[in-house]
Amino acid sequence: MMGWIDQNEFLIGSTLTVFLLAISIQIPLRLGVISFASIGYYAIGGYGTAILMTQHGVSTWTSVVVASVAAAVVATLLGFIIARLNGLYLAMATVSFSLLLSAVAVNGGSITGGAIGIFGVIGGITIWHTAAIAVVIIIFVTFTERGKLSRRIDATRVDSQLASAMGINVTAYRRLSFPISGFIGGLAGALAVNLKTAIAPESVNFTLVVLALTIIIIGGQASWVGALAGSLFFVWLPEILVFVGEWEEVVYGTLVVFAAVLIPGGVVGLFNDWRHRRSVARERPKVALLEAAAGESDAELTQSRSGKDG
Amino acid sequence: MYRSKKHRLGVAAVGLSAVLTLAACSSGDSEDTAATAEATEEVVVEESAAEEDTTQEEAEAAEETCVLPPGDIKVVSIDSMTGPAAFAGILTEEGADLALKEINASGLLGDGVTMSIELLDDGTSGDEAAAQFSKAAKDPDVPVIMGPILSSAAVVTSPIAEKEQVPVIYTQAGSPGVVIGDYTFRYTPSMDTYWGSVGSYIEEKGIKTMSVLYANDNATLINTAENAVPALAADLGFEILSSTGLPSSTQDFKAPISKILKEDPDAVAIMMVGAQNATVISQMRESGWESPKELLGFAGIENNLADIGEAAKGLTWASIFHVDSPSESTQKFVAAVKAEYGVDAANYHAERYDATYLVANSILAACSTDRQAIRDAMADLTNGSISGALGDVSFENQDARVSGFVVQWDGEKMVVLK
Amino acid sequence: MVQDLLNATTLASIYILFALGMSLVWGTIGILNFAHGSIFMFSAFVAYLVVQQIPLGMPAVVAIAMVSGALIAVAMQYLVFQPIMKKAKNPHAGELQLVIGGIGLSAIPISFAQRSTLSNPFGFSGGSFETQVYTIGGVIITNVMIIILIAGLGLGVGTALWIRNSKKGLALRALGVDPEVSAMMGIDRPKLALATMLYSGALAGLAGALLTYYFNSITSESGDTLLLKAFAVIILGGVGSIFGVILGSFILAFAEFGVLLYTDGSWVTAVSFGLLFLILIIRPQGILGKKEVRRT
Repeated sequence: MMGWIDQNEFLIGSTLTVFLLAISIQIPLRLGVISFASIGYYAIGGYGTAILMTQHGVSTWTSVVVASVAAAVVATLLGFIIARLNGLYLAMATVSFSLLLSAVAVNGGSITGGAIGIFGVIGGITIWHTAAIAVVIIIFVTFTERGKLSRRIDATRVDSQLASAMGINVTAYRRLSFPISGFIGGLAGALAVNLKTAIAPESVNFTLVVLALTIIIIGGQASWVGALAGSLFFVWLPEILVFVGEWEEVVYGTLVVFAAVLIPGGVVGLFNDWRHRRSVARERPKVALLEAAAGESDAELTQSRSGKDG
Repeated sequence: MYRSKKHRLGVAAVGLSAVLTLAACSSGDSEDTAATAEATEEVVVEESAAEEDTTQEEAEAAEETCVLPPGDIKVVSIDSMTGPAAFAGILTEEGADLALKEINASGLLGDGVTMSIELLDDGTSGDEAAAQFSKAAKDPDVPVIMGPILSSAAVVTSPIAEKEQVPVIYTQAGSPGVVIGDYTFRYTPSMDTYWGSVGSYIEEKGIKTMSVLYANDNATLINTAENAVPALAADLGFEILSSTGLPSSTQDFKAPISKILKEDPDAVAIMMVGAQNATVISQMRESGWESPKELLGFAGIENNLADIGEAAKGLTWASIFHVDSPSESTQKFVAAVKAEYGVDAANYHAERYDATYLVANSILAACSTDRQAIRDAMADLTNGSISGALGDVSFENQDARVSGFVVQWDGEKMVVLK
Repeated sequence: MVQDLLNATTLASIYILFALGMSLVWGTIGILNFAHGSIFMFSAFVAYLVVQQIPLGMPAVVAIAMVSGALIAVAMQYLVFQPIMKKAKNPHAGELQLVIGGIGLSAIPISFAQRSTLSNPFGFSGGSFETQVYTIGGVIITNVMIIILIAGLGLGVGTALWIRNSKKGLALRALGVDPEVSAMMGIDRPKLALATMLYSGALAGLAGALLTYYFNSITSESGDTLLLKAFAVIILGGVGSIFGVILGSFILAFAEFGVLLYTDGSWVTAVSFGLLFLILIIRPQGILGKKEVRRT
């Protein structure tokens, strides 16, 4: 086991940083905000850490924290600037924000290293540190996926007007999602640059935007489990697809299309549906008994309950 | 995974694609040389024995006394067989295949000792290359790694090589940050070290002023435009009127051309990526840029000229490899490629062919598959000059150096001027 | 100066040709088609494959590209976009699925073209068409430029007028405003959507062929570059407005030209994103767009 982990250190590290990036996109998405700004946060976190470590001799962990906080601050400002946008318009604004940052990286001269970027960023961060950070983030996210807070978040996404009417401060929720998303995105970039020891403009381009979004949609939007499933799937896909050789990209495209058409809820949604159906099937005989005993409306109530808890 | 698979042949034109940072060199086009396969094999055996200048005795001594345990020595190669860099990766691996075939047929490593390459396709993705490299570097059974051709991948894999203390030899990967320590070697000279060979042509044509157009997101081209060109200008005393760096996503060049035409230089140096080169040159010609005004290019640009042919006539640059190169060792190699694959050899073939021989000779000189011993032997061998498919190659801190020669596009193919 | 204006106008026409179909599809049937760049590239690629075998002239090459583009687009609509739209519980969820579907679709043709060309640039040099250069009063213009100018401006204005004045155009606009109500008014949405995709695909094919003539060669990835610029063009002008596409194309082309002429040019990529970001902050509905009525 340890040997396997050691051999696949890079892939495991990639999975974890991609997972953090996906979480950074997922948090606003759960509030109905389609934001690609996470790529920009990732760039700030990555470049910030690289610059602090290689050019200013700042210690590894201080650099990581400072760069992540910087990303959170930029995210907060961005949240105010684009407050009145919605849907795909907001998505476009955040895409351009991220790609503008990538243009800054290309034109940043000796600070960002231009097209070559910054290399030789060697700190002491291991995949165990990264894994520990991921666990902390998961715990935090789980907290938002339970109870009252979770229902408020869902209401904000599904129908923001209704949510407002019910007394949920939609604007405040959405605005708060920016610094959180910014910090986690920045953290993802900071840890990624430590894993790869290098960062270049081409590693924070539109391709990464597309990858991160695909991961969430394929994995599932509603829960961190979806983000993790998606990250595992896409980071390890090239390993799995070795046998298709040159047709890897075609298989990738086809899989994404199938997922988009057939499983709108993502892999996790599919799993939940299956679990739901199975529990319904298991409960059906009992329900039938109940139906016989009591009125039809009671039975329906039981059925829907058992479906949810099962 | 044994490499028995034959790759696709008949590559008419090879192109630099966007997003890549390859140190591109030249490929040949003329069809004059022919030799038999047997002759080639013989020749190569001789060549590998008498390859090194400074360490010749050591190597010979090693060869006499060295008996490697029979079996197969497997090295790992990480290369771009699919994706935008596949044009280079496929030819690179053909070069390695050819060298491997010769090495094993000639029994270079001794009786019953063969060498094979486990090929991993990175799909032109830096992350995939890094993951594969990290895995191979941590596998103690892998004695040497042939590194990825992508610069963006190589800057990530080099620190891993140094950390895991596994010798890695690169071809292409022309960016700074690739050859960084004891364990990293590179067999492709970076372009900024030989671009200036075009200087003799500049002097001959009496060029006094020049404008430069380059891709500002390609490490190799940036290095050349921002370092090699000004150095040559200072050396020869011509003036650089402007140096314009444009992203490799630029598709229309009418505006920068309009700017350059107003400056009215004697020559324009073009260093863009892939299809851009064809667009720039044809748009320059449409704007009336004709002789005696000169166009200068860079090694690799010949791969992008197929669609404009005649318009690029007169484009001149410095190359490190050409099928008509006078070097004897190059001619033998060109004949071998022709016999094996039926095509003219490209620089990608040549670099990896030589690098594969260097790996075999290092194993032989070390007389071991121990990583440290191989690294030391490789450092020893690259201490002098090696003659092979690329002609005579010398090394500076484990990084290849070659003196370029001047080539020109004649409307259909590139020809050697001097 | 006249030369620069002419060149910038040609660039604007190129943007119009590329963005027109995309804007139409987005503004009416609500699909932000990420595979538009792929259709563009692959149509040109099909024409290239044919030209390698038969030395055809420009009209035939353009026709092949347009038919290929239309066929690919219709297939995409029928196999992917339509099923997604049918399944979507609400427009918001559907929107993202459509984007992802387009992303997946776009990877497939690009990968085929990369395999086939080994990622080398390709062009129509196998064909019989020759670029002619004319000099009129010191201004240089080529026959390809003339064709692009006529096609871009003509199709742009023509489509805009058709949408504004014809009955089918009215139906399309109605779809863009409220799909449900327009369905109740007797508009056959799936059929109209298929027709719109067909037109959009043919336009992408036309753009692919003409651009390949203009640039002499393109690569498998050329469509992606234009896709990002098309976002800027469409949003600048206003989603759903065809005159907006024309205006957006001119603004972007002239801005890029200005940056290239008067600066060292290294920030030119930032122009499209910068303009996009600015317009979204100042006037999200775009210069000619109507106030967003669909979303909350």
